[in-house]
Amino acid sequence: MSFTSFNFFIFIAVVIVLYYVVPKKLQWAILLLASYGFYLSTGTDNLAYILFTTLFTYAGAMYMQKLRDDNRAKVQAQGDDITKDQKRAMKKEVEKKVKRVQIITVVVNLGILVFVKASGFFISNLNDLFGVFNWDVSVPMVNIIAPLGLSYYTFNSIGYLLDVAHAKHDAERHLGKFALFVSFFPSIVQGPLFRYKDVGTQLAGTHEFNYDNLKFGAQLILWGVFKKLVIADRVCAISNLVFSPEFLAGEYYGSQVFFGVLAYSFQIYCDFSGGTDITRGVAQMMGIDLPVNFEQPFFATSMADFWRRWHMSLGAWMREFVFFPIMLSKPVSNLSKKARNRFGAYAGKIVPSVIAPMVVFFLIGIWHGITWQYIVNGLYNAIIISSTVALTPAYAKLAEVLRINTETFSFRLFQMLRTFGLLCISRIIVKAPSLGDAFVMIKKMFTSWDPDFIFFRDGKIFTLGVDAPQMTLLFVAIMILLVVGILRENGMKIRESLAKQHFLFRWGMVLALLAFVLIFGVYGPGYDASAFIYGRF
Amino acid sequence: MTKKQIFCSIGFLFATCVVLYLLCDLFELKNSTNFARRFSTYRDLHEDTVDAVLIGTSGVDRYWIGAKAYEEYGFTSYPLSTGEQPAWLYEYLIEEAYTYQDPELLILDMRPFGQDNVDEVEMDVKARRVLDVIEPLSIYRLKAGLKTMKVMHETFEDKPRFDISYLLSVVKYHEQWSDDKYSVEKNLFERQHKYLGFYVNKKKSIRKKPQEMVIYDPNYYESLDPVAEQAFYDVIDYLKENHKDKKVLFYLSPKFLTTLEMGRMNTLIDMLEKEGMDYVNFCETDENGQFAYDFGFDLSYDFYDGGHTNFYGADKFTGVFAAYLDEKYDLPDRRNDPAVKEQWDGIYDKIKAKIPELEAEAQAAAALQSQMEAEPDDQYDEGEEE
Repeated sequence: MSFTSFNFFIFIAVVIVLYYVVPKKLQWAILLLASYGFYLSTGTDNLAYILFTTLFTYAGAMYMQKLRDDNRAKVQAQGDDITKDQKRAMKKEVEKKVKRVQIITVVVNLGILVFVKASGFFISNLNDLFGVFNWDVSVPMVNIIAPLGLSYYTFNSIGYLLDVAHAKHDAERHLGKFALFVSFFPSIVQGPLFRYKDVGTQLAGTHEFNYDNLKFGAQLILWGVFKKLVIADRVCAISNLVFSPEFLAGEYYGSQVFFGVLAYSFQIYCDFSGGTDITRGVAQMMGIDLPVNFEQPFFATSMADFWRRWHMSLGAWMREFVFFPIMLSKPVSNLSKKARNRFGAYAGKIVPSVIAPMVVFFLIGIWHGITWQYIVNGLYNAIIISSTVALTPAYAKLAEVLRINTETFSFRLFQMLRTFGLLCISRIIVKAPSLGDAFVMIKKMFTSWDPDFIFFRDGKIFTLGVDAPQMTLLFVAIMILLVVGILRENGMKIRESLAKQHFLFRWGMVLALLAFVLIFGVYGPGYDASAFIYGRF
Repeated sequence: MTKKQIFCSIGFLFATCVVLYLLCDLFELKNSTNFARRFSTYRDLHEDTVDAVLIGTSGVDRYWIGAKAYEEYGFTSYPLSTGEQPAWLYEYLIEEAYTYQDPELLILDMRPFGQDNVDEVEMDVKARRVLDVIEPLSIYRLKAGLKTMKVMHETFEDKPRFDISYLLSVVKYHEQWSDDKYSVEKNLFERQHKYLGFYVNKKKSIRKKPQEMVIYDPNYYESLDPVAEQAFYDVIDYLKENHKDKKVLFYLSPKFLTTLEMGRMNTLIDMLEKEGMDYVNFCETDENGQFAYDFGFDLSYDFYDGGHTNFYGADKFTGVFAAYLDEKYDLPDRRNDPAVKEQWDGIYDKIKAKIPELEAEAQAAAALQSQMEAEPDDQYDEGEEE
């Protein structure tokens, strides 16, 4: 069921009505039924995966909880008969067991994810390696179709296990409510990721009907649909053409590459953030607050800043469960000490700040896909961010020497354009048919731009998959997106601000957006609206 | 929810419906603008001024000059026809007819019951021509959309059971905004049919394509398409339940039938006789191979293709059919009714005046004339109605 299909909106309407009509203590049950109903609508074949993850994670967390509860009960039962040291020893013993359970449950969950998503990659590369050595050995390919939302619910489950293991909160005892946390349908397709203590408790709780939530949620859904159907599904014609093997086999300019990557940047942003808006809007209509996943990423002033604004929930997850543990781990601490002793205090300080991002962005790269392109892209991002950290003092010195005022709008604009340029390279690496094609495209973008502006003359710009009227429409839509982005960047809460206006203005804006989407959206019989890009992760 | 919130919600939903209505009005099937004019003009006629309504395909609006029948006999009649109108939507067209007028005579075209219903695109187009033009804010429009979904789903396995585009036309046609030929002004403002439903086209009204007579065999039978057959029984049941006091006449306008069509019409006639329904078959021929009814057709001059008369043929046909209706049914003479005179007087003269204009234009483009003769019959490209 596509998020922008009429069937989905009918489904949401029915779920919301039932949600508020049933006794509050059964609201979680409605959501659970809806979540599994939604999941089953995509096919029954992969139900086993989510059921296994749910039951296994539930059992693992409950066992860790039981170990602690039993120990607590034992200590309480013994009262003053045991010393503080004995209590500490007992707790240490229990925590060792908890750690073992934590490792097993996380490894199993991660193992499923890696097996389903990476086995094809490893087998094909292994077979290629055998070919290099002329060994007459071949491992049979394993063709597994990843079940819907595997990455999302696995990461949510791993986060939950780690939070329980670190005693951030108790394990959820109610299997149904836990199953809802794993399978919550609006977010299972493409996130956002969330922690049990933030969202799980909301899902399990009760919610009074709130008119503002209903209104704001619906407006957010409409905004998401606008981004997806008017911009993303239209602009993809350009990026699909420019990045196609057929196009790249012929003669092309760097300007066309840039145009294509610009289109792809808007496509991926509008598709992903549009989908997230729909997800958050649906959840908000039921009084559930999901984390924000995008914050005007095109206004980022550095790659690090970009990743703080893009897919924020993944960044938060990586920060909590990968970045900080690496930063604070013994091996990295020891390495940092050695670096400080050998190269000075600064080196000691930046070693963990370089290693941790390298690991995080490598993982983010392969989270998107286990191919050499995603691996290279992950490393590319990692190198830029790590080197930025390492070279920050040098950049500050350079600005000082050149007398550049870094607090001005013009400098900020330069930073945004620079960041966008770096991002373009990243996008090309990922989107090109192969790494070889990516390198050629990047080279052309810088060396064979289009000195006579041939591409921009005589209407040639309208030969890249989108004609003049569609291009004009795209321009208008992107301007709308930009205006809203600028307002939000300046701290304006759009929906709350709209709510304060006269009802005619309010209704006019919403109905104008609705009409805009209905007229200009890429949908309906005859269109091939692409599925959400991030749905395959 | 507070009272204010409830009122706001209702108000907003109402405003949303208005927007949807306007959008559906703006976007419709490309040549439905012509059909839309026919239907919107019907809705604008003065109340209780229509004595007979004809429902059906181009076998109605290419043949029947209601304005001529009014001039010569005084009764008024209006065609609610669309291209290849599907029989399964007849009930809703009849409801449309009786929502705005109270005609004592209903004339139903027999051609739809002889149609094949096997091509998904064709069926879709035929249905949408009707759905796009009947009153959008009506229960019968909703029922027509739901019935179309049912028929399409039952006929074609891959069609979904629910397709919102049959209820909200903007879902289907919104991409027309980028079409050069799409005109907001035309869709919104050019809503009047100049000739009270009679089809006038600068090419087809004056095109002359010689035809060879087909000998009609009343003893040759072919079974109806299942969808058409079911539609027949649905219509009969509907008429018996809702309009048993009205006079109903099924009719088949003169065309050059294929063997299959002839066989199906004979089957249909048997079914009509069994149900006790009146009918008139203008395709019947005598033993000399001439039309049984004396239309005075010149077969080299009066048809633009095997299934349609041009203006000349329509003029002759209307003369005969109007006389038939005047004799058989006690229809009023409204030539002194001011409400009727206001909208009907002079229309036939307007049509007659238009034809020589079209002929002059065609003669001025002689090369176009010879190209017209070579053009294959295009059932779907109606071209522009005048």
